[in-house]
Amino acid sequence: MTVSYLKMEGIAKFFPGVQALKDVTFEAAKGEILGLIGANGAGKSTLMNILGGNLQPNAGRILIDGKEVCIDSPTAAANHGIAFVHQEMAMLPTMSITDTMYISSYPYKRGLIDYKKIHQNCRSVLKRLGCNFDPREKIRNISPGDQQMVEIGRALLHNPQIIIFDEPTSSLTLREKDHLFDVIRSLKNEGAVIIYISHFLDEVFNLCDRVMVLRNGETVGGGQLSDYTYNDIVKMMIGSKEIDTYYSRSEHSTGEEIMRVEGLSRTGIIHDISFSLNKGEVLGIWGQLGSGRTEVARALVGLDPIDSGMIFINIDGSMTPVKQSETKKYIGMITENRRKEGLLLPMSVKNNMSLANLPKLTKKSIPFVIDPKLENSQVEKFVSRMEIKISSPSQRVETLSGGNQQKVIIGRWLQKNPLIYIMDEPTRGLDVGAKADIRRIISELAEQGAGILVISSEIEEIMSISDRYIVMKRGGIVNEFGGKVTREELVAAATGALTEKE
Amino acid sequence: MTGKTKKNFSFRNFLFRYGFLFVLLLVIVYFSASAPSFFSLTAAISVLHTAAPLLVIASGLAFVIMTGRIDISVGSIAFLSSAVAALMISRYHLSIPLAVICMLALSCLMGAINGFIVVILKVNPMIATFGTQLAYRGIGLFLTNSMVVSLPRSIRFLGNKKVGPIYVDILFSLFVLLIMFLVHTRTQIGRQIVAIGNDISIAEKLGIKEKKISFFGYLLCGLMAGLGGIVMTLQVGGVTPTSGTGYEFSAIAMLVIGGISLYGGEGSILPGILIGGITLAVIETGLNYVGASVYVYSFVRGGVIFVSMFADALKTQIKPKAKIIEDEESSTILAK
Repeated sequence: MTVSYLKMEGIAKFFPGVQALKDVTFEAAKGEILGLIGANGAGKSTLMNILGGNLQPNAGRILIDGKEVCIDSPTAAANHGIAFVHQEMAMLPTMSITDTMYISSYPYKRGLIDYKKIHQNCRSVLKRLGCNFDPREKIRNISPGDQQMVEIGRALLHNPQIIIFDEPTSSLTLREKDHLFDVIRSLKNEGAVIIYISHFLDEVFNLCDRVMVLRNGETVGGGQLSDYTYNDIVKMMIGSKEIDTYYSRSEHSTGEEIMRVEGLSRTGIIHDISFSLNKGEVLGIWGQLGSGRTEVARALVGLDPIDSGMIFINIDGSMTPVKQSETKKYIGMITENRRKEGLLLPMSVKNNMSLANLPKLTKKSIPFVIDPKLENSQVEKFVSRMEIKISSPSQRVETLSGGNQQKVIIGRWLQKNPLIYIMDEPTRGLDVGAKADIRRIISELAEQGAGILVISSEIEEIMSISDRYIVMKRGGIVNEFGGKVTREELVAAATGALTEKE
Repeated sequence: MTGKTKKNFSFRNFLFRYGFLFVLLLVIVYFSASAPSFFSLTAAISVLHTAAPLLVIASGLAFVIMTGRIDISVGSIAFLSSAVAALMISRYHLSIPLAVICMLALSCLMGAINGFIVVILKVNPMIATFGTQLAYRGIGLFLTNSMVVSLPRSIRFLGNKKVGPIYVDILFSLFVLLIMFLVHTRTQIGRQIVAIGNDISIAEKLGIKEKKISFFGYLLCGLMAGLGGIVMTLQVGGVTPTSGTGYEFSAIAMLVIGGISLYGGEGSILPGILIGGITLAVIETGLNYVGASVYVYSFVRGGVIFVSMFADALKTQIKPKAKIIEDEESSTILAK
């Protein structure tokens, strides 16, 4: 057994309203790669931000080489030999590689920056990473994969003993990823402690020696990776919590095809997305954050451009190809971020609800002039149907609760009565009651014959409303499941545990 | 396919980078054809002589523009600081070095005020420096009673003093450009200014004290406006109520023509500002040589500013394309 070099003991962190970490303890030795995994919001990033000096713990202590240390800033972390390779790269596109690495710590010689020396240092660090480019090259001329190497190179400048990688592969191609893994392995062989954060199980199994699984801010398991199977880890990640039963969807039959998507692609973002959706069906799109699920939704309604692919929509009984710019006529989109993209917060409920439907609310006698009676009656009709709790239709939307805000958005689309709804995280941030309400509405819409695409990062939610599932990973569809899928299967598919078996 | 796009792109890049060099050549050829005396050493020197004060002012302004902000009060800073110095020398008969020191300190102060309003109080840079432009000029007009303040004969000769065939102020402005070039490319502050122009939040993440550095940019801009004011005043032999009017836009035009992007983070002091300065001065001197009406000057200058800014906007629009090309590569690999 190797001696542990780094030890974090009893770490706890509170944020207003949430306990992000409760009593987390772990050790890591030199010359090993520790995989840190967990679902979104499990506390991985919080824990590593504490180690990196970006956050202060409320309890617990950190020991390096047996001595207790205080890490109160990123600089202090660097002084203790801790380097953090962030998921978000900090690149300066118009500047050189050397500049990007040295920007806040240039060495001087005779009053001027000693470029000769730092170009040389840069070149040797890059060479250690297996990169052979000119350090004077501008960042914008190198690929994202090479930029990632620059980011790592910057972390290596100060000869760190502990290196944290936070989701470093999210912007890399397969080839670049393999290269990165080689680099990480060679750093390990040089005797560094490596902590590798990821939500891709296949990566962790490929790279790491040991694993630690976090769930809801607690360590739920860990140890030598060779002792575990994919399934063990998946079980640890999702726990044994039962699917909540506030609203469970009843079985029902679905009708004819209403939308078909063929080969939808956008270079570097999504590729070859094909699926079909039936009348009265709720299709769940499941995948990790950044798997491309939101991007698919945005591409379908023309919010993001596409490079290739066709969208067919059932118009008056026949499947007709529809231009991306015209799908809006048939699809109601409820965005992930309702406060920023869905609502005009300072305006009234009435204005927000009739916004997408104004041309239909004009007076018959005078064109372009809104008929207030018609508008009021429409709004009232949908407010009561959706059971939106408001004092009057002129109440400002920003004063409503999240659940009622979401209902206002859905109510807006109901007026237009689209064939298809796309709902991206429809219940994010809502309380349990409001969640159940929204799920009931989704179900009702489906029963009335609409086709519905639902995206959610809560597996219990997506499982309680979907008839069928497609699973996305890295911009592509990796699996399709019918209604009888288990949670384990869904999680395994999205984290890459299933691809190994194929 | 990918290779073709890349080639295409680099051609456009080439055009954007050297486009104004072509324009400069065209302009020189045109004026030389219509006024043969234009293509001469005398004319070339007079072009640089005209450009000298603006070169100095633009070299300071560059440090604001490279952070992605702007300062349109530089003409007024040059005017007010020169007016104060001229008054100290002519009316109060103070020693010349003292007057110069006071005037440079004053121009630093004016730059610092701009920096304070923009960086600390976070007022929109265009509006803030438009306000100080009016305020500084107002103070200057009040102090001079809107009258011309002439410099004494003993120093007036400096403005047209030559070493061999070359004016002293040309050498001075080239020297200033060289120093500013070194500050920009070989000091941490200069590099951090460019980093801020890339992206303020990324710069802060990288440990750059953004406010301090941006404030310094405004201070330096004020100082250089004051230095440029000295050159301007010596050339004319005194300060007039309209001294420095319109300098801000000429200086901005010089920078943009020279490839310093108004969106920040991009461009060089040398040769950028020199090319921009010469292009602008050649056009004005050339119009003079062909005997164009004075009113044509403003029209042409306006046109040049517009075209160069449009080119700048186009340049930033094509930036994201480079990224997509790389994405294309990666997705083909993914597809395999």
